[in-house]
Amino acid sequence: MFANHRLIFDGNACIYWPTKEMVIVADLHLEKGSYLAEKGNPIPLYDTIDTLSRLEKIVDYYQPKTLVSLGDNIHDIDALNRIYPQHKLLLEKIANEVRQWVWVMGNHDKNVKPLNWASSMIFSASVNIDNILLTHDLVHESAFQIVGHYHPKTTVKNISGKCFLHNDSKIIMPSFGSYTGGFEIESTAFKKALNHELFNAFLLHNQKIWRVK
Amino acid sequence: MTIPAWLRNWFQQKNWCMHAYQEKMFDFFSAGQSVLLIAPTGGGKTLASFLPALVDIHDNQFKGLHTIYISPLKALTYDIQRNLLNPIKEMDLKVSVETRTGDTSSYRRQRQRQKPPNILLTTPESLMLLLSYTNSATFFSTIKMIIVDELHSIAPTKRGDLLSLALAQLTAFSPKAQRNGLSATVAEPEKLAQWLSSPKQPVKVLQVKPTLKPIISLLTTSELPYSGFMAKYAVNEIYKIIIQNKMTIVFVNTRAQVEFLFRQLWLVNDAGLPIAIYHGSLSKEQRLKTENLIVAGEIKAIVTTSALELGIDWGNVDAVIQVGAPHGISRLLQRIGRSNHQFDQSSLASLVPANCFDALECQAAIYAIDKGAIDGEDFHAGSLDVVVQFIINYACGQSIEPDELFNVIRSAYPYRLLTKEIYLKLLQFAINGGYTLQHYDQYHRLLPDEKNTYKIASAQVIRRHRQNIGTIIEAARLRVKIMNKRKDKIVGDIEEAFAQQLTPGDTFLFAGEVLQFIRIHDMHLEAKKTKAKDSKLPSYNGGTMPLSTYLAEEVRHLINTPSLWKNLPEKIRDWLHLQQKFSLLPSENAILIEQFPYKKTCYLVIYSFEGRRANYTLGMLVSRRMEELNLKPISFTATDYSLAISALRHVDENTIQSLFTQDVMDMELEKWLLQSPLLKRTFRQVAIISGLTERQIAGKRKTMKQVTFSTDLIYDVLMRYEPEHILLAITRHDVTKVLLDIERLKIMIQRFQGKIIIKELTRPSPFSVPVLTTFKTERVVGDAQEELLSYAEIEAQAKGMIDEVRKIV
Repeated sequence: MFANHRLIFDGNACIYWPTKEMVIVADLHLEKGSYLAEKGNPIPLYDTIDTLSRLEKIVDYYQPKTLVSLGDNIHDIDALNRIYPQHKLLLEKIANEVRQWVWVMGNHDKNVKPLNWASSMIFSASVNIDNILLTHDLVHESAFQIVGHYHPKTTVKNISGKCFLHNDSKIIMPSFGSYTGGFEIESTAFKKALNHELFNAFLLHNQKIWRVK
Repeated sequence: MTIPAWLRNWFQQKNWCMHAYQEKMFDFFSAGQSVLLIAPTGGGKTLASFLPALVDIHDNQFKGLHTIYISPLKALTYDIQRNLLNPIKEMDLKVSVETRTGDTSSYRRQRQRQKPPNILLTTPESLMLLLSYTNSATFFSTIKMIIVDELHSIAPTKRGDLLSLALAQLTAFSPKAQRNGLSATVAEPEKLAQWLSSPKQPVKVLQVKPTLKPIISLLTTSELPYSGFMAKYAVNEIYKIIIQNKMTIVFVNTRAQVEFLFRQLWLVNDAGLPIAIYHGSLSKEQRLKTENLIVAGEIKAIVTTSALELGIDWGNVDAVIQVGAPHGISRLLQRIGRSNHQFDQSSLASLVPANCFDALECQAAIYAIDKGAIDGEDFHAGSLDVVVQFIINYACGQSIEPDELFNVIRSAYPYRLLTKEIYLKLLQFAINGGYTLQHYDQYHRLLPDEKNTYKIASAQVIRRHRQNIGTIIEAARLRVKIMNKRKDKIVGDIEEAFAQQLTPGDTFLFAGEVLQFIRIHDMHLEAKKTKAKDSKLPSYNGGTMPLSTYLAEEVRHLINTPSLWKNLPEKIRDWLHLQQKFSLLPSENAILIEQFPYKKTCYLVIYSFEGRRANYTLGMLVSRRMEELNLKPISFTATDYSLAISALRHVDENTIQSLFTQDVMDMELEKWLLQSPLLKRTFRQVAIISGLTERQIAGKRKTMKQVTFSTDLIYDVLMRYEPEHILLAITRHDVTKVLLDIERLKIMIQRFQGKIIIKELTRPSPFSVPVLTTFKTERVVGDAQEELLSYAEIEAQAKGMIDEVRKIV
């Protein structure tokens, strides 16, 4: 329960909100691969298709009315100029399967021009739903919020993976993009970024989810 | 070429006589014949290899680069430079000598490229870098001689692969240049000579027989414990040897042992002798300081790991002590060779076993050295990720004509069997990543032109490549910083994995001091000095060397030949006799497995003699299978010689036989590999060496954790979309190389198929005592006094177990 709402943390790094028929994901970082390739890394550029395919599966499974992606949906301002036409088609297909897709803007994509690829796309800095603020980075004054941005990751007994962080007022989502790394939540830098606030962690491993003590 | 009078005069002045092999080097040089010179350390072989070059350069007033000397160690290049500059000065020769390493200033590099010295001393990586410049063809066209030092240590490694390709390119630039190798004694000199040769340059072996065998003694007191690794009992004896000699090197096997022994020696150092510490984790400044003290003869003893094994000539060392099992004969000889660099005197060495099995291994090694035996080397086919690095390196200097480059690569010995098909895949990866499902063409590293040749795509690709040359991928490390009110000081670095298990306030031994952990900050481990005696030990990482197969055989042989026991200490003989009476001695052509009740569980002890890592892996695989069979295994412990598995259920004979079969090994291994992080870790190395991702970049330093994570992600994605990609193929292949121990296990299982002897016992056998108590000795922590008490307690327990057996037999 979060702010008196039942939310489901899914092992595929998304949240499903049953009463709103809503799926929430964060930090897709589309075209991060080609961004790195431009810098001379000959890595396989299968990250965008992989990220979108996983997203498509989730949308097929939950059939949500609303899809919210919490910012940093694309890795950089130029990403949409590089994206493959086939991959862009898949993006549009997903957009057409939901009634609305809310593209929250993050620090990587705050200046992106809202392109009207599909009528369902809504570009916004944040959305407020029943007193819960859905946005990219934490906002000081808000009571309840669900955010991305931090890419939390943790390690339990040599199993390392992305994780959800959660307490009474905040949920921090794991990053969804295939080439997005994580920040170890036990590191001083990470704790400092969150003002040493205490959280419960839920580790993702093999599409399952584990509560971390 | 005749040896000029001025050179003979110089030898006379020095009161040296020229060795026959030193004269021979001139004949080889005149004939343009490449040669592999095999001589023990201290025979003046380095000088011998340079003499013809010095004469040729001086007498013919040679202009330009004449000789390239390649050493695996940076420090060795400086040492050689010193050793060359002296005679050059004394004989007033017109010969210029310079070093070129990662430490060379950019100004010097620039100048060297424009005006090369006659003799250039460098490392494989720096040589690669030189080959990546556009003028390299002209730069190297004048060379007449290439010298590779410590060839035996570098040839069987990935660095050796890289070097072999660099040599191939040098020969392409200057086909007549001789390739000379310098090596310590090896088992198969012909093989090493072949490694060094190219189709154009066959290499002859010139073996200088060691005139005198080393004098090695086994140091034992009655206090030799049954188990343990620290040889605490022998500290006073070691100290005595240090007092009696001018300069002693004490070699140990792990860094933890270095720190431990160093501290123990200082506890008994009543005379306040200058005893120093030296290992690879200390900072450059600290090491340099220590090195200078050694050269100046201001140090009485130094405690060290393999860091001081190679190369540098410390003339004044007169005693070597090896603490703990030597693990291999070649390694032991190398270490012993550090003492007494005089050709006509025997090296002196003492072996100090840390436990009973160590004592057997030490004695077996002494017998083997006496026989003149030595471990065989393992030459593998060249690694393919290194080829990718070489292709890009080649392209930085000149455009690639695919067939021509293929021939250059194939002329390197490790790659003589490389197929065109694989080569083309590697080339394709170098060109654009070679991904079949990918159709971007703006991200090429190499661009084709009209003539079907390839050029490097951009200056950025060149810059990125040059920063990433090399094959040594280190585990993530943190700098250790001692915080001080006045000035913070970096004293070395330490494995990240070890640092992460510390909590603020914990103490640990580093650089011979007890440090208190404060925090990890910006890739630094911050700590302060403390007077506390309580300390944790540094981790064992990177310190466990595999037991050589040959030495393992020798130990088996020793155990089975009572007539050889006479030189063993009384306690060991007693222990062997007890084992013989109570159970069986593991024979040379069968595997002994004992089963007995101990501490309310059933113990299986397998005497494999295949080394600790192999036994550890065996333990993992077998206990997995036992789990499936509902035999309820609880835990296992591995030593170099044996593996102990405890279980709740007694295992019947047929089941034991069935546990150790090829099928079980293969099946469990397959399953285990898929779950283990090994494939991903290997992929990370392949990714860095082949240039898929960058290693840490100056300026925008990523933490290693991040690098690990991103190559893991790439691995997952690539496995999903293109499992047949060349990099994944290389990874799968490399994993089997990483798991050499597993190859050993497989061979062992095959060899002993149907030859497993099972012995049911009522209580633990004498041979099982070391492995049963190992678990505890590895975990002893506490202050110095407590450590002593703990060891005493464990030893008392071991003795009790042996005495119980004595009552029965």
